[in-house]
Amino acid sequence: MKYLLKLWQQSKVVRYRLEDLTTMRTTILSVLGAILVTSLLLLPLYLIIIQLFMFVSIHVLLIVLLLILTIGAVFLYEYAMYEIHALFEPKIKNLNTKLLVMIEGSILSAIILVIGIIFIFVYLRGV
Amino acid sequence: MKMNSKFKTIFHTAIFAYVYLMIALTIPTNFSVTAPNQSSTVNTLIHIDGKDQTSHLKSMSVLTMTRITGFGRMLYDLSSEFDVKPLTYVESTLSQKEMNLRGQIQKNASFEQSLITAYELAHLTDLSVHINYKLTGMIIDYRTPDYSMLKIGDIIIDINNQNFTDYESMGQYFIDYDGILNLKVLREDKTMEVSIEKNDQAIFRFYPKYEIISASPSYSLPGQNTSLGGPSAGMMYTLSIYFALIDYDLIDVDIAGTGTIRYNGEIGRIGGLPQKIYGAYKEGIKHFLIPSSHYNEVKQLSHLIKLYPVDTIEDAIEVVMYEILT
Repeated sequence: MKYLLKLWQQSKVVRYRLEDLTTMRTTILSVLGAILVTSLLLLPLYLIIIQLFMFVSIHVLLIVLLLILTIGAVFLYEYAMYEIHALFEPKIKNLNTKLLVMIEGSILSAIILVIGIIFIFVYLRGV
Repeated sequence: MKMNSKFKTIFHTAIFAYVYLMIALTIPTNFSVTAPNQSSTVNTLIHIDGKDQTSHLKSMSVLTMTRITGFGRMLYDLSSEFDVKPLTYVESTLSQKEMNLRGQIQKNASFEQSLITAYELAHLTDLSVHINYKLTGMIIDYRTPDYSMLKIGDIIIDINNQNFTDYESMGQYFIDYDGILNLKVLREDKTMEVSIEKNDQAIFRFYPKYEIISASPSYSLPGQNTSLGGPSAGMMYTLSIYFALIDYDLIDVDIAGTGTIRYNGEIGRIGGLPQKIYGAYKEGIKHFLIPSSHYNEVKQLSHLIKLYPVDTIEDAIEVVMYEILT
């Protein structure tokens, strides 16, 4: 717990420093770029999984796969966003943005995981 | 710099594979697929109040998808249990929204016809069971695009002021009459007049639309709120309601089946029968009722599951009571 709190404090420091180094314009561009990169990379996988839903016997497996893929997408988006941001603001490279990727990615993943588990339970009860 | 060059080479090559993959994954083809699905327990779809309704009667459905992608076509062709085929004329002239609407129209028509048939049959055994209904008209399940003035889901309540009281004579009049038909149409609770002239290429499909005024015992239709569509569970709905109404509680094995219930008690043809049989087989069901007109198409699958071809709902009742349960 202490370790997690320490990580959280460190991430807040990195975030404050990041805010000093970035502008609204570069933030918007990096977010849009990260969304584009994440979508281009993961869209084929999503499309393949969706088409596999015709196989009834693997529905639960596919839902779990979609969940894992979505959690992966969150981390990929976070990573891509800071990488693209660093292209606009090279000073960011000196910051420990990987810490932000881990902290923000974990929080979003936890939310997605809870929603996903609820969805799986609703699906199983429906079956 | 060397790393950058290697990345460029990979990018140049991979982008082609990526574009082709995306084309295969997104561009629709003129093919549809039918796949096995899980069974539905009929008593979860139609419930007769105050009656102990067996959970052993199952209706089988299939999953269908029209205009599958190239990747889908390749993938589904790998499985012998899937049926990949070119779109039918009807499928090719309808949007996905219209296809879904048809599924719901067919399901609701199936519920109404099953209730009427089962209650009337049960009334012969138990006079306290009764149903009071009247014909509203014919609901349009399909019409060729030339007749776009009629919409799928419209209810034809009268033709040339003939005041029909039964579906058979109304349908026969529509089929036989050559010339201009003046139709009284109910669309979204509004009545309107539509005139059409039938041509030789015209295709129309209807289902009877009834208004059930009262029924004893009363019933509920939880199945109306499900995404399942289509008419093929009509026979199993009717059996489930009938056995509940006559308090027949000897069914102790799972019985699956498929087939529409028609206004005259006949069991009508359905689609995707092999996929339904595969679906039932996978669930370990041993008995499967089918319309007899389909038997020759699927008799090679009788080593998987015992098939019982039936012509009418009376046949189906006899098969359940005297063949399966003895």
